[in-house]
Amino acid sequence: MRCSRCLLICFFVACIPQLSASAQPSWLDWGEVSQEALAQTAYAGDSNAAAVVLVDHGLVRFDDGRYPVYDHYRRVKILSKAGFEWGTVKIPFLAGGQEIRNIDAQTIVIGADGGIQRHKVRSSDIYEESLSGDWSQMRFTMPRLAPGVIVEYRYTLALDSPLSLPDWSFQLGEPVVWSGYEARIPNVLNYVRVTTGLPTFDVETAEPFLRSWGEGMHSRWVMKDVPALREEPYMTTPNDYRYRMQFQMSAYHNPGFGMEDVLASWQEVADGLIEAPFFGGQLESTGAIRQKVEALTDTVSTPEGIVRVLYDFVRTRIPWNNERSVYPADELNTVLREKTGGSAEVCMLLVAMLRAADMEAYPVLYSTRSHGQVIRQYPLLSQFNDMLVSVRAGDTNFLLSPTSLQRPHTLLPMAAQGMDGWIVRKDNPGWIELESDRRYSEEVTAAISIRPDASLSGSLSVQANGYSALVKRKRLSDQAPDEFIEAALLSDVDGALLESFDIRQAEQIEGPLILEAAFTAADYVQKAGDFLYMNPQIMHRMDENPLRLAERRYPLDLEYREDHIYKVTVAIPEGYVIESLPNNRYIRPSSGGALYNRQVIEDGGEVTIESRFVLARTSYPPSSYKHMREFMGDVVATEQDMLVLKRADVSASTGGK
Amino acid sequence: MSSDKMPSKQGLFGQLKETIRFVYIARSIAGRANACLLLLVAAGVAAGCGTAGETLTAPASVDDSFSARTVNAGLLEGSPAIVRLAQRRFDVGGPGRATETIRKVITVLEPAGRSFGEFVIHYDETLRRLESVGGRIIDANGRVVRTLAESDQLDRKASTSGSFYSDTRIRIVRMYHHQYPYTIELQYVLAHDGLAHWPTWYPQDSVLPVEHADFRLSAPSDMTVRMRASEAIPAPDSVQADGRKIFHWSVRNRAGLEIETAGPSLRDQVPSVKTAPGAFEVGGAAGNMRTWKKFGSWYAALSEGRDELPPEAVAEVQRLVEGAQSDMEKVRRLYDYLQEKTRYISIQLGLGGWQPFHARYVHERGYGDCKALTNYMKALLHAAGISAHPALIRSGINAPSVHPGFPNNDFNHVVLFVPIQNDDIWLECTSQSRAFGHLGAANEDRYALVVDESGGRLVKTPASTAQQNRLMRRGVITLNALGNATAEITTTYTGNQQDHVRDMLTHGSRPERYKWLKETIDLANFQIAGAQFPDPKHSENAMKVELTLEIGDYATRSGPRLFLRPNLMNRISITLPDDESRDQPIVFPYPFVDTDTLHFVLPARYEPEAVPEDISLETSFASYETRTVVEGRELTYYRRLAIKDRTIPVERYEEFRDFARQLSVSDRAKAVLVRREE
Repeated sequence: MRCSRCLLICFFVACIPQLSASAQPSWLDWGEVSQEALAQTAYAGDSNAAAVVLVDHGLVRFDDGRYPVYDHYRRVKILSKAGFEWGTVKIPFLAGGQEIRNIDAQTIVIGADGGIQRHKVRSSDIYEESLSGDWSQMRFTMPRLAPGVIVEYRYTLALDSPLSLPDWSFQLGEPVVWSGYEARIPNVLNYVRVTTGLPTFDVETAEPFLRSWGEGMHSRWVMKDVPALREEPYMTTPNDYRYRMQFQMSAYHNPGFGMEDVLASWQEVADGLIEAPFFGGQLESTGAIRQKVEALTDTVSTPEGIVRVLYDFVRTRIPWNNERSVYPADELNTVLREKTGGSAEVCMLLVAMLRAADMEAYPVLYSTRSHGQVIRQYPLLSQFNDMLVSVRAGDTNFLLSPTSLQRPHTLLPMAAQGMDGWIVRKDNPGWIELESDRRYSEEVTAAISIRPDASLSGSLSVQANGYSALVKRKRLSDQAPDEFIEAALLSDVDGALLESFDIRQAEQIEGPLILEAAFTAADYVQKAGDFLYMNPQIMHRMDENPLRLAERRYPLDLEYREDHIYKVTVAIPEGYVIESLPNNRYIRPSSGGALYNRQVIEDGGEVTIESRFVLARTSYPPSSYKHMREFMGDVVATEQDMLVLKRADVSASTGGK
Repeated sequence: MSSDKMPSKQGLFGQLKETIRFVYIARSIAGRANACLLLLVAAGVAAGCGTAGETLTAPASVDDSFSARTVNAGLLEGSPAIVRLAQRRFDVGGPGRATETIRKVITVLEPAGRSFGEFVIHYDETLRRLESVGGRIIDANGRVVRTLAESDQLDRKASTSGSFYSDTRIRIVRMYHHQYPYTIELQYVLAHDGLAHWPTWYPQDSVLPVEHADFRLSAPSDMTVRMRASEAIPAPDSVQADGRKIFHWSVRNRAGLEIETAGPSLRDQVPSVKTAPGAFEVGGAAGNMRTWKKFGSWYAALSEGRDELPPEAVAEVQRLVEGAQSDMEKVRRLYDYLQEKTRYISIQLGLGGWQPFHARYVHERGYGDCKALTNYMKALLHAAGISAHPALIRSGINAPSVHPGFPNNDFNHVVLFVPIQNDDIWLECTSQSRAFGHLGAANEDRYALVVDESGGRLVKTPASTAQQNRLMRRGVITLNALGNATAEITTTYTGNQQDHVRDMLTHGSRPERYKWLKETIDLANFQIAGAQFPDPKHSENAMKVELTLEIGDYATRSGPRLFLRPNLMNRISITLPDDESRDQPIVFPYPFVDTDTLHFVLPARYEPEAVPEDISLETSFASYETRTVVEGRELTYYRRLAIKDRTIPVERYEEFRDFARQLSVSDRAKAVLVRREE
């Protein structure tokens, strides 16, 4: 199920496949375009394409044997105006070390006389701009863009360090006809190569070569007709699925000493961090921290009790400043005094406090969902962008993140769910799967009475658990309570007016959140002739299928497992009888993992409808997408069912207007 | 499938918001008519207020009277924060130079007011440099608890979404504290080097109540200083000293504001003082704006000699207009050519924010900004023997209006004015999709400064009428006994209603078009079985989109009956509580008329048992009508909604509420069909 974002790791020198085929050196083709290619108006492989990348070619070479130089060439056919964005090029680089040279760019068009014309980008039209931090970029836009033209550009990037080579994406936002990456690497340098998305190469070769500075290996990878990777809903980040390749130096040959490792092992990284004054050094508890902990835990006896007290202290008294970080920027005493901090500061403070209370606690580093999964084979801290806390309390291990006023200690931030965490400790540093209960559940009880004039009065009571409670508490913290209730409870009731409401347990974040509302609605029940009808699903009605795309190539990654229980009792007004009721339903996708169930009971002047909607998993493989989409469609249709009442004292055949 | 199962729709008041938003989004707001920053008006206004103190660098000591204890409680009325002091000082050194100092002191009383501690300062690297920024936070006892540090600030390029390249940057300053209440103070200094616009001062530039706002303008005695203040602003103190004249305005104790949904913009609701120079200078180009004529002449001088075309371009123009029967036809052909050949790319650097690129430049590259494209179009027309004039305009729906009696640089965009025989043609030259001669909602019904041989003169752009901004829908919907339907729908959009459609069809990829359709069609369960899109190039002044929809469970089944909602896809739902009052008018982006005529072919043996009541509502601001007619197995539904005037005065609010209620009920009404047994 996770295979489409599996990684393939190669110790570069170790695996040299011997395939023969020639990778076209695209450099030779600069400016050479056929009339046919220019006349083409569509791409047969993808009717959604606004542009097609005809050639994408990268080459890394070490001309002097020491520093890598990267040449990039790309040629794009623009099919429609929607593809014009491919005519604006941005080349980011690190100012102060890296350098962009030899930018060439041109637009190739069929001129008025039917001949091929080439319009170059002038060097005065190429801008360099500083972004933020050390990053800068070159930016230019192609002249004479029009549907049908071909644009091409090439440039050279000189790197100031051989430690990592430019990444290569075989897959882009539009289809790629030919994508090739070449690396001519001296044998004295060893690289770890990581491939994402499990590509199958059309060409994969490696040939030895000789230069004045020594021997090297020339490797080539080519993919042809690569489909576009367009972002789809319910995806963690497209980069987790993209066909791409990354290189990181692992060792080099030091003459006289043999191969020396460049990449440390994770153990070494952990040792380094623990010894570093700015990291491990911070965790040696200070007097201020110890005093605070003693005061807080004085009357607490159980380990879990201590965890909760300290977690609550940091969570509420040292509010997170919304910055994610991996290293604490301030000393913990300062954090304690300033009473705010980024995730590394508040987490490190919590670790220090837990340790001061003699608990076994460690920092955990990870990469957030939108930042993308880390590659375990690269012992590189730069892959992480956030921190958590791991603590053992008796027999239970807790993962904590004191970064939300509303999150109980049992829930992880959504950004961490399903990601790999790396626990920083001396003995056995290593990987843990960040997964806590991802339940989003709600129980709704509604009572409705319809008046003979078709107006309605009703009450709603909602018990929210797990992430449902967290999400709602968060919203409640920055919304007026009545607006919150209207949005959370009454948004599906046309014309509802809130009469009164109650919010309970908003502060007790570990338990369920209870919401209650009484309301009236003049127009929700509709009148047609002698009939009154209404949709009895007054909350959480799914009005359209959220799975809009007919097909999907990637797993459906959901944030939560969902469980919605809904119970409504409708009192029938005097003078009306039931004409028809929604049916009992039981719906399940044949691939499993979800459920919808509805039972309808009629009893005297009352109808009771109970339904339950369950999404039991957070990830559904592409093979079950079709079934899930059908299932959701069935649920949408089922939730449109009406309760129909008829005036008791007239025969059905009269009416009209 | 995320929170709450589905993205929750807005409730209650939200619905009005939703409706208006729908009107805004679905109808044209011309995302691609690119307002270039001809000037920095927007940025200048955003900066807010200035200082009267003498300190020009870091903030002076915070007066202890600003601690939260001294808040004017009578002014709060539940506001989560209050502006204690908003000072702005504008010291003009000469026609092209000024120093602007802004100081703000805000007391934040509760978490809901926290966001007022975030400030965005717009500046650039040439005309408007940021000299210094300082600030601090003091607690309820007047103790300084934090001094603004590097880590509280973020500096980056200003969003480049509308601009390809410019040196404008923003500094985001965040000042927060965890213990409420607290007071934040911010002060910064901008150095203007190139001044084509003096500040408009708003004593109140947010919804917060203001205890004290203060504006001081000083200039050398020999410089002309012009000003125009709202009636609510007391006259300034003015003094002459040391060869300078100084004007000083002060306003105290303004209550907080409430922004009502779909009301006028904040700036239209608060008083202001506009200031303007006589002589000014930008990047070495000196001008005068005492009269519109003079200001126009300055702009004309900047463009002089920039409208020459290379000979091959002139030849191409000749070829294009060959055989055209009228000037109108020539203009049309050349506008088509412009739209085909060019695209909008904005490059703003120093005087480049003012001076158009050469027509040659645009001809060679096929791109330019509003000034360059307008200038290029002017050159094309000139080559065809037609004279045209750039017209400076303040673009934007609800943009502040230009005051004819106060010549000032109030513009942010330029369009082209082409007077021929008996017609005035207005061309939006930055859009590749706009209909010929159609300016769009963001440019209509306002003064533009036409720059012609005489210098410059104000001309009002035409206002669109409801009759011009139409949506006309016709459809045949075939319903089966299961309640499923096949709908053949033709929708024609005209006037401002077509702009968004044109944009989508010109620039949207296929997936984007379908996504747009799916978002526009408010049905629970449907597939687009077919879509015919018009080619914007070959459609005069209307867009006709034809759709085939397969709709599941469109009618609700109940025994022998089907409940059918005849309003297929143009429903509005607004609920406004009876006990809410309103102080502001309701403003639509433009007036419009929608008509839907839908023929339903009923399933065999079904016939209507009851149909929705016919309705006809007529008010001074809007009208609404529905009719349902049954003939044999066909049910025809007709709906017409007209918003006659874009502004509904506040005195009509109750009438509007009633109108909206009846409209919402009627839009959802259903017909009952019953199966006749043989």
